[in-house]
Amino acid sequence: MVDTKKTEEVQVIIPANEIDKVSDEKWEPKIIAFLCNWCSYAGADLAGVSRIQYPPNVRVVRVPCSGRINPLFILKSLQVGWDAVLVSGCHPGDCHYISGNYYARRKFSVLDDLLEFIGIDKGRINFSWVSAAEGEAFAKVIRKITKKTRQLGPNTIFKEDQ
Amino acid sequence: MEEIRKSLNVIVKSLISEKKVEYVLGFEEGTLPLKPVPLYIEKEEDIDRLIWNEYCNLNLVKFLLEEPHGKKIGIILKNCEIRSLIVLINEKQINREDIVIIGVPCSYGIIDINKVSKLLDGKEFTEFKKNGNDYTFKGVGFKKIIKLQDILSDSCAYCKDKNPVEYDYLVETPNEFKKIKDEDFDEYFDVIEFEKKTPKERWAYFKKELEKCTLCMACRNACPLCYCKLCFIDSNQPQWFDKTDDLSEKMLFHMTRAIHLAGRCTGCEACTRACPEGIDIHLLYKKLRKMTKDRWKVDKIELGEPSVLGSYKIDDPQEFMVKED
Amino acid sequence: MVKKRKKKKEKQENQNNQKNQDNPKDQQYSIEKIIPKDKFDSLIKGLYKDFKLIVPKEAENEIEFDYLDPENEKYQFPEYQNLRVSPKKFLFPQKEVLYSFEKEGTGIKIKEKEEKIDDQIIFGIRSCDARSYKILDTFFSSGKYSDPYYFSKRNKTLLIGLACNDPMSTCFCTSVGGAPFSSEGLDAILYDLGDNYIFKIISEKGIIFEKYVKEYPDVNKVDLKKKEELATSARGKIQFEINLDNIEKDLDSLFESDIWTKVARRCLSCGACSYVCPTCHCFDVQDKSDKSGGKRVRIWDNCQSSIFTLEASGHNPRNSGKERTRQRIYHKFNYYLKNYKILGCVGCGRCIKVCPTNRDLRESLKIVVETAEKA
Repeated sequence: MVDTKKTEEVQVIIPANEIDKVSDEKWEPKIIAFLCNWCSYAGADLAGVSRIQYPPNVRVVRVPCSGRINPLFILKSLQVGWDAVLVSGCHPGDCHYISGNYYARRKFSVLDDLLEFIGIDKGRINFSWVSAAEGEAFAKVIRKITKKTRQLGPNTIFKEDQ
Repeated sequence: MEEIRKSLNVIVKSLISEKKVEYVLGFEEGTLPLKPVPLYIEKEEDIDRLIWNEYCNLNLVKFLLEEPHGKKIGIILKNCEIRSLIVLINEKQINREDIVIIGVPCSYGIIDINKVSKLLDGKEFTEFKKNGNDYTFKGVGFKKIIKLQDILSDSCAYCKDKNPVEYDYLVETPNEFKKIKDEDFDEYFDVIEFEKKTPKERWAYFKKELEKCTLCMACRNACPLCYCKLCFIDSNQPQWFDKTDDLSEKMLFHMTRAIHLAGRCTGCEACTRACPEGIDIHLLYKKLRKMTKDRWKVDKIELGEPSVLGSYKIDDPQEFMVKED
Repeated sequence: MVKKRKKKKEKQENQNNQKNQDNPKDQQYSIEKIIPKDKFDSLIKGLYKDFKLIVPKEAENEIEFDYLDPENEKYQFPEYQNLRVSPKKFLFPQKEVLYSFEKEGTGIKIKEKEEKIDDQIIFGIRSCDARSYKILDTFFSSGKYSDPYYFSKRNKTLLIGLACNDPMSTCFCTSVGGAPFSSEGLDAILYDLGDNYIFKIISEKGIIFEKYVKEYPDVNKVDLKKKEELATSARGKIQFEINLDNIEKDLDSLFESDIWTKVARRCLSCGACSYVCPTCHCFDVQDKSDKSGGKRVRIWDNCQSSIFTLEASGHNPRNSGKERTRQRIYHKFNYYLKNYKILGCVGCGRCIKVCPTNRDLRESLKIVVETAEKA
């Protein structure tokens, strides 16, 4: 699904061709996670070094701040076929850039409400606060989202009947 | 209406003759019925062409964006349009000092020409006559009487915000317009009704409407708040959007445009009236207005206030966040 | 240079003639039949046996061209003047896949566009729209190659017109060389006489219709006279007339004129006019792909959009609404005459109807002609 040309602007940690390994016969949800560099990305790192297990369905994109996320990134991800999107940043008050996550919170709630309003399943887009010290919390969030996405099924967003 | 026009004449005449502004922006009769065009009043003799009525359907603020800073311009506006001008002033696109606002209290609202042509089954009308609240449309082989409330723009029908909030000159309106009916209805009545529907029904509605879209961008270009020098749609690198007319592309465009207007849209509905396909998605934008009111208690856009998405409160609601348990 | 150009043009014209043998070349066939309105349905059923029919049909809130299934619906022409959307899309759709490719093992398999095109008739098309196909034919067959995607459909399409008894207030076909009763570009035409239709075969290709109308009586003098009367009255209903004989020259002298600022002042630079125009044909090609394959798609483009001429360097030769508005008028009323010796406008008036700011093409033309006269 990943078009390398389209994502060359952001750093993709998992090589694009690995995504192809998920076979179509046995559908596995694919989740794109935009993680803030200072908290959630470090939290994911901590989950890794602590050997905490979580589902391998998530692909991480590191961003400077959750405030960097344009709602268009999220909509575009869903449009090109990611089954769910996660945006995660620092807890309120902890933002490395003082207030980025507060602005992000307002943008996300607009997007969340709007998608619900036009009749798209809640749960395709997810937002969370995960700090650098919360490896276990990160794993829990991923487990929860993967389970939810599995229930929702493959993404047909904006295409057919929801 | 005639009295409004008379007082407008006086104001515009004084502005032009005293050279307070380079021109005044208003409306004149177009070549087709119900299609007025922007009028640039530069000389006194132009004033005779000025009209003011319930089918002045464009948001004239759009035409200010092209003008350089420092040029004094007069403009005749209703309240929703004044509020969109306020957004532009807040966002430092236009200097308040450059603009002389002539505010006109809105009487009932603006007629949506798309609704008229839907009620006439797409037939051409060449004449129309107004008699109280009844509008008679005549064309080849037919004559139809339509009530004003059936062809009024949706936002206008539920609008409670009709008196100018910011102006340099205010047109005193005759008594009948001063008291705008204040029945007890919720401003967001139609959004609340729509929210009661199931997600499937809501999706079906938007799908049906947006499938008609041809991506002509008339809505974007009629909106005064869409002033980006390079719209995300036109961006080639990265190319967000390939204009291939798929439903998903249309959805992406309309959703993103809606988000860009969150907390900014003032409900003038110039976009809906400009749509050549008659697509009705005013609910989307009205929902945004309701959302900012419910969530952040920001009801109407005021001069000097920060924009909704450009500001925050530490205790903003965040119930939509994923919890770890 | 001039000579060269001329030669090229001759060559083009030859090519055009070869490709479009349906060009009537003023040949007239004396098959004119009277079809009573109550027998109309059986004519439709007869035609449907051999052709797919595209007819004006009642859709939601308006009348649109659409495919007809006469087995399940009884068809009569609905009352219509001219339709908001032109039938251009049936031969030149807004989105057309040119080819697609798929991953196959380690390689890639390219699939040509496979499209089964049946013989079809666009039935009930107005004279202006029929003339627009002539313009599209010229464009798509110009140059060295003709457009296979357009002509694969065009060559299988016949046009049966319905003469225009009640032109709209925005119509100005008589100013651009057409007429409400014109049969130019059509294969056959129907004239609505109230209770009856006259069915007249126009082109060589249209002879094929002879067998469907054999059983009907020949036209008589009274009906022909009635038809002439209707033609005159329809012509009289056109409210706008302008002399465009010198338009090419007029525009040549006005390229740098300041009238364009005035004309473009209220243009919103949307594409509504281009998309409803029956002769606008500019397109863009986009590639779409994902992990399993992709496709190349041809989509409508429009010259009013600011990125239409945006160059890779970032420079945009038509940066403002003024230049883009000028381009639209020049393309139709000057470049077309220079390149193909025809006008690029059929006077259907759709762009006038659809424009959100009422930028009236007729007014613009009037300004052009008047300014040129003064100079």
